[in-house]
This record gives sequence, structure tokens and C-alpha cells, in this order.
Amino acid sequence: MRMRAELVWGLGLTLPALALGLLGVGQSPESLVAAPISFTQPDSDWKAVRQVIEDRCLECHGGHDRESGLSFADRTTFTLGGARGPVVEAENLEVSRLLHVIGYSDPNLAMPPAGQLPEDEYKLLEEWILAGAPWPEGEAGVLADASRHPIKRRTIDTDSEWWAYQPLTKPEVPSVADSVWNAHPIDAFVRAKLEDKGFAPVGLATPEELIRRATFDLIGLPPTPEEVREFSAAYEEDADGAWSALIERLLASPSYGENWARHWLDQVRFAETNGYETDGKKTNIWRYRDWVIRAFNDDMPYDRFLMEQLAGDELLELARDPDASEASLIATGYYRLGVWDDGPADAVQAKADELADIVDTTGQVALGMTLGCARCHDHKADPITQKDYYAFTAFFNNIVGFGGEGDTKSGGGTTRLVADEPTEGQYTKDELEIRIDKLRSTLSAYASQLAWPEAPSETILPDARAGGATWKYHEGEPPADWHLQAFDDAEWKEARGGFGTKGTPGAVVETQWKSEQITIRADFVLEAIPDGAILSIHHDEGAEVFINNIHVASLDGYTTQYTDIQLDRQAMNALVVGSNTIAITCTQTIGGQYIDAGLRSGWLDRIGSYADRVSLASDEQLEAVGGLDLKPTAREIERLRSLPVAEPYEALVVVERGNKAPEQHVLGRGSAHAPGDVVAPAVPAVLRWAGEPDLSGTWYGANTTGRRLALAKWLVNEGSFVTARVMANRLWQFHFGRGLCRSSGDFGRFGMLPTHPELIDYLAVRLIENGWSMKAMHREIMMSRFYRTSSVPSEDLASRDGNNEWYGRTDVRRLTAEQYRDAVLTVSGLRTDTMYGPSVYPPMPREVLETSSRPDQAWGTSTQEDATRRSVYVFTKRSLRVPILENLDQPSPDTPCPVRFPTNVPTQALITLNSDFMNDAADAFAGRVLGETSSLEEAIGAAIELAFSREATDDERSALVNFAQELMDENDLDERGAMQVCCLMLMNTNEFMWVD
Amino acid sequence: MSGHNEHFCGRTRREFLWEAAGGFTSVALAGMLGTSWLAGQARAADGVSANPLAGVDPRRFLTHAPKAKSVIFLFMYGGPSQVDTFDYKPDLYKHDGKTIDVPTFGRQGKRAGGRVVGPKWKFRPYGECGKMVSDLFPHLGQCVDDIAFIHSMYAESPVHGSALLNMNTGRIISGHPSLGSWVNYGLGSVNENLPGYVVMLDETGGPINGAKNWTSGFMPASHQGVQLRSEGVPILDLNTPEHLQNGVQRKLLDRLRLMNESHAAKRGGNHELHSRINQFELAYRMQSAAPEAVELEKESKETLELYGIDRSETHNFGKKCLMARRLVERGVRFIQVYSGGGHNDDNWDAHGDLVLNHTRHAGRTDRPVAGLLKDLKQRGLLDETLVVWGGEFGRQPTAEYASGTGRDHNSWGFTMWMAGGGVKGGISIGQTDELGAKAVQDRFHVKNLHATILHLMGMDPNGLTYFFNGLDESLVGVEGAEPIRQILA
Repeated sequence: MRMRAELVWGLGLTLPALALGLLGVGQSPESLVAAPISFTQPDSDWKAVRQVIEDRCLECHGGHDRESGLSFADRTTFTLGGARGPVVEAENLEVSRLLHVIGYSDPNLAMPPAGQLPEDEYKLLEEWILAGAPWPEGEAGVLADASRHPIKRRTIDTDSEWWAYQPLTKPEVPSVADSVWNAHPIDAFVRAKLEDKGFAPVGLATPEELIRRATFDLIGLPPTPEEVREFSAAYEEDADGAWSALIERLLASPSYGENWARHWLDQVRFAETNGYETDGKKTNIWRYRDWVIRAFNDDMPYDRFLMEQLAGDELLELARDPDASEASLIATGYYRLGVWDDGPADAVQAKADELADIVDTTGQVALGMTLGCARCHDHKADPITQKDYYAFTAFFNNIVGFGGEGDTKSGGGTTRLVADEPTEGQYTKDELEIRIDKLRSTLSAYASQLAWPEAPSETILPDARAGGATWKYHEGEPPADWHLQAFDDAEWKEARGGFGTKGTPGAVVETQWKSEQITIRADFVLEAIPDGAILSIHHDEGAEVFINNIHVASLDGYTTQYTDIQLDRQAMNALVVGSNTIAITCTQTIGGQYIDAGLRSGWLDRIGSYADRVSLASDEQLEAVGGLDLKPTAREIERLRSLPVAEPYEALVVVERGNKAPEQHVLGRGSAHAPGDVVAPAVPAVLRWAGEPDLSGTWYGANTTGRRLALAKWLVNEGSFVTARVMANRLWQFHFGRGLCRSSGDFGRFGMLPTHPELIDYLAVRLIENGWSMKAMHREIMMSRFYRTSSVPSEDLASRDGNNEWYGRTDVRRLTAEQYRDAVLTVSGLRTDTMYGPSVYPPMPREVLETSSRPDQAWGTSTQEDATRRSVYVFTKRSLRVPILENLDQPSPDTPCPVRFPTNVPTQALITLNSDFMNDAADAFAGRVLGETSSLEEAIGAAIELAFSREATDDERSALVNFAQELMDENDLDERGAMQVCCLMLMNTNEFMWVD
Repeated sequence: MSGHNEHFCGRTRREFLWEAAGGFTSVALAGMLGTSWLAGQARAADGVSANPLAGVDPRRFLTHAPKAKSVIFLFMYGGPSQVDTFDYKPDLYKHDGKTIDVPTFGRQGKRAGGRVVGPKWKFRPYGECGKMVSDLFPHLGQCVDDIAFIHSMYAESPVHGSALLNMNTGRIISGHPSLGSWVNYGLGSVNENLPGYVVMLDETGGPINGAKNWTSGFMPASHQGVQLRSEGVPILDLNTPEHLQNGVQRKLLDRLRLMNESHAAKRGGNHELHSRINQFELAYRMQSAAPEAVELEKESKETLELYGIDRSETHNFGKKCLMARRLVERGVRFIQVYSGGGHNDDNWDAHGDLVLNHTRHAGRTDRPVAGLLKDLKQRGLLDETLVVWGGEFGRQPTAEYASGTGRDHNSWGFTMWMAGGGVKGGISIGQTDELGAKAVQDRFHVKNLHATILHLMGMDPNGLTYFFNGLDESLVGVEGAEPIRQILA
């Protein structure tokens, strides 16, 4: 189905619905109370007004341009107004849009943009507008040639001819004369283009080059000398077989996920802090990083990979997708990766900016579209209107912002308790409960008839019925951090619980509380942790209960008597031997206040208790209820309960506000204070020919709208013609150093044209045909002859295709910052290969810490073992980055980075020559090779082999031996010292840092 | 060496260098077209990525003859109070302690009014222009005839984090390059042995946001500011480790060059491989050039005294100001010096005791800043060096708390000043209202300040663009901004 959409082009600016009573910031109070001066001398006054308009407005509005459709060319164009109609409100002159924008009260809607009008000019225009903005007819009123900027209507044919938005079909594989290039379709496409351009490709790379290339490419580490030797020998026997086996070995390595995850983390601007003033930590966001690594290692299909990040929660909870799991929730940490201002100057705009960040990132990552360009106005180059932009925004506008709906500063309201994927023989808490429930049901019929044995239950904290505990209390809004154990409540008053007013049903009032809110805190000492504990609580409208910082209960609605709550496992885990703190805040808007709580050990009649009863019952008792054979079942329940559980703990995830999204407005110039038309969720018009997201699902009682799910499904079904192209190109990019379309984050007209559009389409189709398996794509690409060609250009290629535009060879590539650091750690034998878990903190030079406003709190410490883990596990702090990674061009994590930009500057050389990190590694490297060999010469040979993944030549070896000898003779270095210098030098060579 | 990498716009590098010389002094030429800069920037280092600088003629951003060759931005972090420093409000004294209606917006949010804190210092006239300056700045007062005061600045945020970003990168949204990055991107560096963009921090720590304040944002990392220290090793990892001293490092580099050259020879003259070979030599030279640049021992006693380096109170900031002058002499384009670091009263953020706070920070900076201006002038450098003074915002005329003299943040109106580098001296432009709360006349956004700096350096603020994510990004934003013409000489 093809659609045509007619759009008004260039008139996208949506001006604001005006708020009454806005005063111009620049206006002193006097000017606002001054009596309006009437336009008594129209001619001379108009002259002055005209002068101001000519000086300040005309260039953009009617002169050189016709911005937002507004033209001051003549009376007619002025009366017509701008994209949103007349700029003077005849009925109510004071709220005229023109007056509003020159008032400069809203920085996003302030005109002229270069600076506010001088006071006298402002007053003049104000008077003129309040006088009805009289505009002379005829010559006096003609400021510019109105015909210069006719209102343009541009029609977007949604079946645009642009390459990226074409239907995706499998292109015919060309046949080339050089028949060795016909065996693999990728080769045929590459060779055909070379044939066209009149180039001959170079020959194949050496086996040593190939294994180093493939190993860095897939796992981001250098191959070991043994691996090189084995491969080279096998390659001689059976090149294709050895090559294929190598690829399989590397794809099966868990290091593969660590390397390829990093590529994805660049796209989604992964960081573990929020930026801005406090640059606070994102709670456990490393779980998202681990999810990405696991997804690559498990070969999660790309369609699934994308869907889980965009809508993992909805797959699990709305669609009840059988393949979704709690891990799918962690994937939605995708929405929590961006920067977040914890103290915004304009909270409303900040929320809009946060949302825009998600929209822009998603547009670029999934669709290769620079949607962000259409936030303030229609896209300047691509057929994306501002309306399209906000329609796309509507898929996401129900997401609770990072700070939650309140003003919490820690991502509150956007975390959920999620268990890790259980390892073998381990269950999640839910799975365990299902199993226990099953067993319990066989017990329950009998056990419920059993008398409850003397259950050990001791008072931990007495509620008022048992005399009451001593509480600290505070009335009114509680201070921040009231719930934390470390909170200092020394200033608070102290009294016996319960708190309330007499006459409240079920209350035992010890201390009067009549206000709207009370917060109470009490400490209690445990000498041992009980198996189970019960909270007894009697509360008003709403109560939040914390024990040792853990949110134990959130209670709605008042109670008329004490209720018992069995503390769950998470709360139980929070208890410690020694001093514990319970903190409760309770609200009550109308009379009849009451709050009190107590704690006792023991079990309610819930999980475990039937088993306890059976276990504790005598055989006679069991026989009496006909359940003599129940003890093994009870024991099995106990066994299950003693198993280690994949405990749920905090993960930053997406959270929506409920199942009804707020209206999405088009925002004038991107300003949240200038809402315009309402738009419904939709993909950009240019993509709609393939069908639209299915938004028909109704999700009764759900906490989300299902919009993200609809979009995610669309992206990998109807929209796969774009999604697959973008990802296929990206896969190519990370294999060869650049995309077939070099601007891999922008497939639009501002991007670059693909050199091999048919090959992108071919790979995109293959990606889909392979069930979106990325490992299958690695195999296909790497099994091509082209992948195996040498990187050394022929003379002809060097002179006529220096940029290697047409792929007569492969490109040499510099290691990424992470690969370089990991390679240094690897060859020096320092690398720790622990996977997953919280990020680590390699030592940060003191002088770098001092750039932080709180140098002593800026960075963490890790053990030596942790500090030498792979770079993907290094903590990413937005305001303080690890020097070697930052200087070697790890991108700033504030914006998506589709293509890294490697630079070459002397400060990099300072770090790789002089830093402690490099010199320590060089020392370890020296120690390693000296320890593994029996002579300096062998040690040098081993070092070269480790560094370059090839055997040293005799010349190289003897040159370095002489070099080391010279250092020992002339510079008073011992063997280890000389070897350290050699190793440092080797790790600084281009051969170490570049891959052929 | 072959391939089109050697060509710029169809010309060889030699031709290009030669052509570019027209109209500029040899100093500017060497600076803008330093071979290392070309070699390092003309293509992406992997030899394959599209490099937005590829083939860029560094002159293309020069639209007119530059007035300033270098900028020294004296950043008064925390936000100095305008009514206690340079924005003389005689009526404010008599309102001291009175509660009045004046809207304010600070970290405490928006307020409708509050208790006036009268200026805590007397003002007196200085210089031929008779500029009224508070007693916090007796030395700087003597320089007013060289200074253009802008009393009507406003910014987009009254919160340190985003306001610092605003002043340094033009946006309150994170991710954009800082002013110094733009200057170096637009003009290239003059001295290839020193970084073109240098940041000196206060001894109490960095400002809030840390390195975000001198980030190159979406530009290549080579454009970010390099932190230079006044004590110890000036640049990170500049010092040769002990075991590489006494000629070992030189030997290492010679051996490295041999290995790298033989490696490159087999790889068809890949430009990036050669470029990296050169970077080691530059790094080697930087190891001696950078310490020399910050070596103050050779400065005369008079000079050290002029900057207050002989006094404990002004020693630290004085040293940084003198280092700034020496860096300017060596062609560093952009130098930012922070007064104040960390949090609270370690910087100008006077929420509690205004008198204590501003006495401390003005006391530490008055003599050094005046010394810097006088020294630049006597050496004939002030004409080509633009000195900028100011914080991320100003402060309110009213008290933040029920008692005390502390003032909350104020981005609706504050004072900044500039001197030298094509700026008129002895003038004051713009006004805040009679309480000093809000800029009311000739209001200038931070963008106008940025536009002025770029303009003085010979660039069109609206034409200095960098293509990123589908947009021609610029420091002054898509709406553009005009320089503050009233202060241009």
C-alpha cells in the first residue's frame, strides 16, 4: 500500500498557546503600569515601527527567509501571520503572540533570537501592537517583495525514492569474470563494484594476519602465540576448514560478548552516572551492560535484542511472551542510560529534554534517522516533519522520568526488584515459590487440620497492645533521607507508640498525633536473626515502612485493627545482628489518626508453615488427619527453602504511569512551554507505507500502555526494511572499520550515500533470513574471500583509491581504546578474566581526581585483581573518565556514538609512554617473558611474539637484544629493567596498536 | 607517500601552506597550519572513518582579521555577587534589612521577595572613566580604563551544574563542546609543542561537573581542554618515569621510530601510521616545552610581586595568572583559570556569610588579576589577548536565609567584564534594575558573550559550525547570536 501525505513544508513552527499574565522579563514594573500611548500620529509612528521591523525582524521573516511562515513583507503577509495563524490577536491584543515573543519571558520563544530589543524599541512595538498593529496599505506598508517567499507546499511522496526507505528485496547476486569471487555472494558484490571501477583486488592476507584480525575482530583480544602456531599449521593443511574452525571457536568464546557489547554500548550512550551537578550513580545499571554481553554471547536474535530493550516489560507482562523473563526487564534499562539533571532550572523542560534524548537515541539506533533534527522544526533535509517527531515521541511519553514522579534524586520510582537469571540448579524466587506451592497444596488439606505446634515467637519490638515501643517522631513532611538507617534523628522528639487520636477503632493511643503526617523511627537490637519475622501494623491512609533502608511495605487505605505482615526474604536479609532501624511515615488528611507497629519472630500461616506443622507433628497427630506419609513432602519443601535463590534486587528499568498515556503535543521550537497540536503515536510518514504499529491492544488493569511494544514489533516486522538495513550496515562497520554507508547513524540525506547499496540490501535480507542471528552474519561475512584479503594496497589502489572506497583490500584498523588497554593487560599477563557484575575502578591518578569537585569521593577503589579486568567492566562516570580510555577516543557517553572518531595527538603518546599503568604493565610483561624463557634473546623473541602475534624475525630479535644490551651497558639498567623498556616500546609500536 | 591524503582541495600540502600564508603573519601561519596539526587532523586516525575535518581549510572559519590571538578566561566559579563587586547600586544600601517584593530565582526556587542585604562594601571611583568599584578590588580598580564591564548578562540556569555547562558550552544540556574546543577547532593550534586549550583549576578541587566543563563533547577528543597544574607535574603523565630518565626514553623513542617506520613502509604509506610516529616526537618535545612554559624561576622579582606570588594569600592564583601570560606568549589559544573549586565557601558560592566568602576570594584574586592586566599591557600583549572575567551567574540582592548575609544564585542578571584583545576600555554597558536583581537594559545572553569572543578571534559566531548528527552545530546555537558590539573597539 502506498500513501501520499501532503505536508506544508517549512511551516512547521508551532507557536505557543499563550499563557495569560506573562510579563516580559526585560520590562521593569514601571513600563507595565505606564498608561498606553495611543497611536496619535500614524505616519511618523509607523515610520519608527517600520524601522524596528526592518532592523530586527525582516531578514528572517520576509527578507532573506520566511522562517516559520511569517513574513513582514507587506500588509497581506503580515495579516496572514505565521504557521500558527495571525501573530496579533485582534480580540485580545494583550495576548498577541508577537508581543509575547518580543517580551523575552520564555527563552525558547524569544525574538529576535540575537538578543532582546532595546527598551525603547520594545515599548514602541508594544504600543503599536496594543493599538491593534495598524499596517498601512500601499507603498508605505511594503517592506519587501512578498512574492519572494510564496507559501510553499511540498508534497512528500511517502514512497520516497531515497535508498534507505525503499522496500527491501534481495538483490540479484552479480556474476563476475574473476570466478574465484563468485563463490560467495558478498565477494561477488564487492568484486563487481571493483570491476566497474577498473580495480583489481589484492591477494589474501597471511595466516598470522588472519588470526590476529579475526581474534581482535570477534573477541577484542590478541591471539596467543600457541593459537597462532596451531592455526597457521592447520591453515596450511586445510585453509577453509581451519578458518571456519577458528571463527567457531571465537564465536563460542565468552569474550566475544564482551567485545561486541562495547559496540552496542556506544550506540546507546551507556554510562553509569547521570551527569550534571551531583553526577549520581545509576543504581546497578551494570546489569544492563551484563544483559547486553549475555545477549551477544547467547546469540539473541537482533529483532529480539531490540524488542527486549524497547519493551521487555511489555513482552513479559502484557504479551506474556513465553520467551520473556525477568531479564527482559533489565533490558529496559535502555531507557535509563541518558544524562539526567537532578536540579534542573526548568523542571518541565528538563522532562521534555529527557524524553527527547530517548526519542533521538531510538531514532538513530533503530532507524538510522536523525529524528532530533525535527524536534524544533521540520527536518531540513529528510522527509520528517515536526509532527512526525512528536508522533514518534508519543510512543514514549508515558514513561516515568528518571527521577520518578516525585523529586527523588536516585532514580527512585524507576527501579524494580529483578532476579538475575538463575544458574543451573538454582531457581528464581518466583519459580521456587511455584514449586513449593505445588507441594504445599498436597499438604494443606491435612496440615490445616493439624494444631499449630508451639511456634517459637518472640517479641522483637512491642506494639502498643504489648506496652508499645519508644519511637522518635516528626510531624509534617519528613526530611529527605528520613527512611535511611544513617539518618540522624537525634533532634526528633521521643514518645511511646501508638500515635493517634482517641476513639480511632482498634487504637491504643499512647501519644497524641493530630496532624496530617507523622514519621516515626525506632531502633531494635537482634542477638540472632530469626527464621521469620512478622510486622504488626495499624495505620492510616497511607504508610511506608522501611527496615534498615529496605522498603518493606507500602500500605494504602486505613485499617481498623492491627494486621500482621510476614516479612519477605528481602526484608529478612536486611536484618542484622546488632542494631536495626525501622522507619515509618504515615499520612492522614482527616481526623481519626493512628499509627503503630511492632515486630515479632515467627511465621504466619503462609509459605513454610504447613511444612513446619507437618515436620513438628507427631506420627499420631499425622495419622489422626490421615497424612502419615507427608513427612517426605515436608522435607522436600524444607530442602527447596534452603536452596540458594536468585534473589531479586534493584535494577533500573522502564516504568510507565499506567495504561493511559498523556496527550502528546507538538512543541513549538521544542519548548515544553509551547504545546501545539495533539498528535497520536505513529512512525514517520515516510515509513508508513509498510504498515503502521498495531495500537489496538487493550490492556485492562495494566501498568503500561503497550505503545512501546507496538513500536518494537513494528520495527522488526513492518519496519524491518529499515531496521535490518541499519543493523546489517552496522555489522559490516564493526568488521571492516566503516559501514557500507559510512554514516551508520544517519541514513538520511545529511548522511553519506552507501558505496554498495545492493550489498547493504543483500546483507539486510540475509540478516532476516538468518532469523536475525548476529553470529550467523559474522560467519557469512568472515567466510567471504574479501574478509580474508590483505590490507596492503597495490600500487594502483594506493594511487587511485587511497581511501579504499571500493574495497580493493581491507583496511588496517587501530585498536579501540578498550581493545588497546585489554591487549596491554593480556600480553603482560595481568588481565583478570572475571566476567559480569558491578563495575571496577582502576587506579585513577591523583591529578585527575583533583579535577572533580569532591576529589575524595569521586572514584572508588578496586582490588588489584578487579582493576585489571577488561575495559568493558570499568566504571563509566560521565564527569570523570579513565585517562587512557578517554584519550584513545572512547566516546563521550552523553550522545549516541555511531562511529568513533580516532584522533592522533601527543597527549596520547604521553600516556602510553609515561603512565603508571603502562609502565607497571611493561614491568609485568618483562617479568613474564623472562620467567618463561631462559635467555634474554628468547625473552625478547617471546615478547615480540606476544605483542605482534607472529614470530620475531632474526633481525628484529637481534636488533632488540642489542638495544637491551646497550641499555644495560650505558644506562645502568639490569636485565629486568632493560626488558621493561623493550616491552614498553613494543606496546607503543604501531604494529601492536594496529590490526592488518 | 602517495594517495590523495597529501592533497588539500586538490593542492599539495606545500602549495596549500604557501597559499594560506597570504594575508597573515608568519606566526599565525605556523600556528594555524602547523604540520602536525594537518597531519593529525586531516584524516581520521584509523584511515577509514569519515573525518569531518578532512580537507578542511582552517582559514575557512576566519572571516575577518582577528583582534585577539588568545583568550584568558578567569572563571569565578560559584558566582560572584554583582552588587558587591562592580554593579554599583547606591540605593540598595539603605534598603538593608527591609523586606521588599522582588522576584528571584535561585537554588531555593522562585521567590516573590525577601530581605534585602545591602552591599557589604563601599564603592569608589577609579581611573579616568570614574568607574565605581567596590573595595573588594582595590588593585583591579586601577585597571578599569582597560576594562569593558557588561552589567546585563543573563544565563539559562540558576543551578551550578547546568549553569557551568551554559557558560562553558553554551547549553544547559550536556554533550556539547566547550568554548575552548570551538576556538581550537576553528583556528587550530599555534604551538605544536603545547596543547592549544589549557585549564588551570583551583587548589581546592575542580568545579562541579569536573571535566565536563572543558569537554570537547561530540568533537574529537583532541579538542578537549588539557589540565595544567601549577604545582608538581604540569600535565598528566608529562614526567618521564625514573627508569626512563637519563636518555633511556630517547633511546626508546629512536628504537620505536625505527620499528614504526619499517612497519609503515610495508603498508603502502598509510598516513595515519606516519602521523602517530610524529606524535611521539611531539610528546617528547612537550615534555620539555610544557615545564618551560610554566617555569617561573626566570621571572623577575618585580613580576612575581606584581602578581602577588610573594604573598601567601595570592600566591596560588598569582602563579596561575603568570603561567597564563607565559602560555599566551607561547601561542596557547585558550586558557581558562578557575578561582574557587569544590563546594560551598571554597568558591564564590556565598550562601552563608557573604563577607567572609567574598573577602576570601576577592582577596586571593584582586592583586593577581590586576597584575595580569598590567603585565600584559606593559609587554604589549594586552592588545592581542582577550581577558574575560566572570562566574556562571551572579547573586541575588536579597538574603537566602532568615538571618545572615548569604545570597542565593541569580542567573537573571549579573556582571562580567572583558579587557584587551579588541575590547574598548573604560566603559560599562547594560544595566540591571535598581536592586541589581535582573538585567533590564541591553540584556546579553551567555551566547552573546560567546559570540563576542569568537568575533574578536576573527570568526563569525554563526558560521563556526561542526556537523554532527544531522545538524550544523554551533556554539551559539541554531538561532545564532550577535557579538556585543558596544564593547568592540
